[in-house]
Amino acid sequence: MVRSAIDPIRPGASLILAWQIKHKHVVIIGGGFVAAGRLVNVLEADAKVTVICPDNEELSETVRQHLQDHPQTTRLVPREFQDTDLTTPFGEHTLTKVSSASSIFTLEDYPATTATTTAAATATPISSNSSVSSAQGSPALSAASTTTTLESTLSLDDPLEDAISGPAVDMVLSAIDDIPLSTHIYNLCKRLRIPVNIADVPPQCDFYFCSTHRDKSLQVAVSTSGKGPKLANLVRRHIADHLPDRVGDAIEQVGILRAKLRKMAPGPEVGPKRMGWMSRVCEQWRMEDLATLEERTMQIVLSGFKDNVVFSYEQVQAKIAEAESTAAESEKIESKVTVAEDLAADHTIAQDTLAQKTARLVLVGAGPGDPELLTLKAARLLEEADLVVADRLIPMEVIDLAKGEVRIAPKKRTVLTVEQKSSIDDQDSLSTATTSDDIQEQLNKWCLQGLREGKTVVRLKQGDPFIFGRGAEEILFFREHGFDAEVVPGISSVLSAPLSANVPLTHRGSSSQVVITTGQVKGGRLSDNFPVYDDQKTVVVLMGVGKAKEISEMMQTDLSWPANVPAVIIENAHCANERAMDATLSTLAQVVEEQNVVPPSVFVIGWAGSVLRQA
Amino acid sequence: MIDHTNNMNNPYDSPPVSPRYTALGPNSPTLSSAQQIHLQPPTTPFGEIKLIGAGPGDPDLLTMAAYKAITTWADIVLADKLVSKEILALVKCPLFVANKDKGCQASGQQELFERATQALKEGKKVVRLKQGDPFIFGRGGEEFLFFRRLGYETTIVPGLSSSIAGPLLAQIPLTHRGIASQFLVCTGTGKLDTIPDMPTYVAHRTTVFLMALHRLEDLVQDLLRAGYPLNLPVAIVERASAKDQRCIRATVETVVETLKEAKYRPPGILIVGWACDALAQNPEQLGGLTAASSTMMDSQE
Repeated sequence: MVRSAIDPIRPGASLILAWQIKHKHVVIIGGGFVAAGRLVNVLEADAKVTVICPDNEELSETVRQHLQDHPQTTRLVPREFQDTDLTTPFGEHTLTKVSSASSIFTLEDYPATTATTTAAATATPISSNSSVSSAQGSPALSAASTTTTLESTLSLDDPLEDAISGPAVDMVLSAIDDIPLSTHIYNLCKRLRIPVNIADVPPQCDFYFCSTHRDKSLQVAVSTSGKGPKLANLVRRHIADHLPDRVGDAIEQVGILRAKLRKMAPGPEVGPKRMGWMSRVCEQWRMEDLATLEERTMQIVLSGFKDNVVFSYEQVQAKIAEAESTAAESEKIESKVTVAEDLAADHTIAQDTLAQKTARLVLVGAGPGDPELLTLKAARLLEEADLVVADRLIPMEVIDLAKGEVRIAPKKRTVLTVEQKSSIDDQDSLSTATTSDDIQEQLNKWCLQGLREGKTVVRLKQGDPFIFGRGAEEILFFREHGFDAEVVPGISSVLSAPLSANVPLTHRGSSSQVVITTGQVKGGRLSDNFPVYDDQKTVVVLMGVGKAKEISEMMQTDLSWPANVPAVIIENAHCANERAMDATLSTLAQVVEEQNVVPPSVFVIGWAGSVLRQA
Repeated sequence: MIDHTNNMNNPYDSPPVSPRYTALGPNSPTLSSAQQIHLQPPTTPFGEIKLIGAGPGDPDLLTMAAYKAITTWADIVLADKLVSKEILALVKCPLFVANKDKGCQASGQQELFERATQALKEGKKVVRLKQGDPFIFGRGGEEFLFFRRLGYETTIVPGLSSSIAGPLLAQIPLTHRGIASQFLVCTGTGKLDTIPDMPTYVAHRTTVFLMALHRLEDLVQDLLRAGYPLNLPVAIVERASAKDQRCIRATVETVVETLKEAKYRPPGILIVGWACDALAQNPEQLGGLTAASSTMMDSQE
């Protein structure tokens, strides 16, 4: 892009930066919900945080929960703010009322004198034992403490870097409504040259918080320079809604690709070529395709760098397919032989025997998406696995628990589910067909490969492996290849989505039976297995979005369901963008259309829908 | 106390600062008289309640959310008797287990409500722990309504329902391509021990009966009347996820006899449908027992 003229300076803006607050010490004064928002912001940026709030009772649930969940990086100082809090390093606050003369802090003293830290220092973090010990372990590590000897520093288990790091506090966020105290804190910070934000008092802010949208490494910040936080929020939402799908994943993968490229061609002399080539990859690949990059595809993409070629997504897929068909050919021959002759089968199994001794395959239900709804067993298996082969729609928060290699199902090129066929009108994609059967085959192959190498393989499946998850088919497949799979149940969204929308699937007097069914069967036909009306029956319909009208008509005319039976639509259950909408059987299709309901969604039809939901 | 919750969705805005901090302490020199009103201890502390599914019994099958709630969050845990001892052993705070033996269901539930109400009034964090999933035959909806009437919105945490996890742990897929495209969950016992309506036979459906095995003989008659074929496979999964889990396989015709021979050990679920045999490995398995472990313990009694 060549600019012909220099853009004029337009004064009056804020300087928007991405502050690297990692491992630095942030002090938050207050424990209410403003403090909660601040706490989330700085914890996500990996800061160490001291929350000063006098009374445990005053802590908001969010703050309390984060303090509990992050014992290493948070401390609660459950008392009133003291001036010394701004000169006390992380983890060294005293709980006891400071009484000695040296504790009286005056601005003139700083930075010559130390914050009061005594050997009897006993910080009381909210929950963790480990934080108690580390808090007690470093009473003398105050950066400002001139009396700390090197020996004492070294004898403590805190890393030395803490002791030699800069000021005790790097950022102060006040979230209280006590204006005189806020002003006092502000003045102290100015004196100590600590950047400070006093909530709701723009003149006393060195910086404002932006309204932010985050998707992994992507952060979009909207600033109105303190003028209209609410508007900033609306603008942020608008932007977020219009970002391409999976942009966060795309950025993650491009980050990995860049690192690989830099490793492959490190020299400064190839810098311009590197940059040019990377730019072309980013421009030529669609965002959602970039998001699918994984080890193998990256290798293929990178192989074009030498000749300064950027392979398209389709080319890469074709190369993989080619490689696989060769592999599949040989496998087919193999299996023919095994069917034909027992001896040959013995041979194949013999080959696998060694690997089988250590190989382990576990089909694990990942639940509806929220990592909190993983079972303990699933979480542990993810950590232990050498290889995790995951369904495509499992959120990264869950996948991130894996410590070993991760392979994620490729995207379907035609239709992801029968349901999506009706919502996506994309004729182009039909040219490069990858069906769910292809994907299934691919996933099975990855698993098999890992097993033959003697690995612990976790096949991570959405929801529950046996509920519309083809899990049993996979078990049969691996059994044929000599591997017995273990199965770990997961919370199926067919049950949890209604729960999430406050619909009890069973409820005395309203529902004594639950039928869970797909809206469509193979080939996109309407399922003809819907039950006849029963006022004690609740029907949960999966994959029904594209068939709402037919389902509603069939249930009313053929199966005697009354028009006014509640029908609750739950879209993206347990995700941040979950929506629950109320309709009746007769208005179901209308609501689906008006609200632009998209898959994955479930319908819950039956009187249980009105038990707990409030109009 | 709870007037901030409306704004909780939006921590990034700069709404009015929380008045919570006004409890700076009586010695704070900076409080205005208006703020001091907030210093009065609230007359009714406001507790919180979570209704949590504990899953089928194995502590490993607790959700992370459930585990955190009972080990660190709760001030008191009120559990049903069917929640496994291993899970109850994780509870660190005061624990109350409701007595819901036959004949005591109503009073057990009543006592539970009373204890929960008391704890909530004291401002405590209450976990109401139910086996399986709270909304699948767990009377979770009734409890939700009870607490709503008292002014508390219950947070519900789903758990693994034994109606789904039980079949899986016995390697029975409730859905399977070409065999079952839907499943139905119901009880074998209606309100006050009446017979519930028997769902009609649908070939492509797997039916799971909870609380049915004590009246299996009658239930089989109901099945036959509703058109279920004699040779339809059935499976009984006892004590799903426990160390002494056992799966008994039979057909509609043979199940009564098979269960008698096997000596039923509650709790168990009955699974009826062609999917029961989808993964069955060999003929012996189809008419007999498959025990998860050879050790038969009575730990779950």
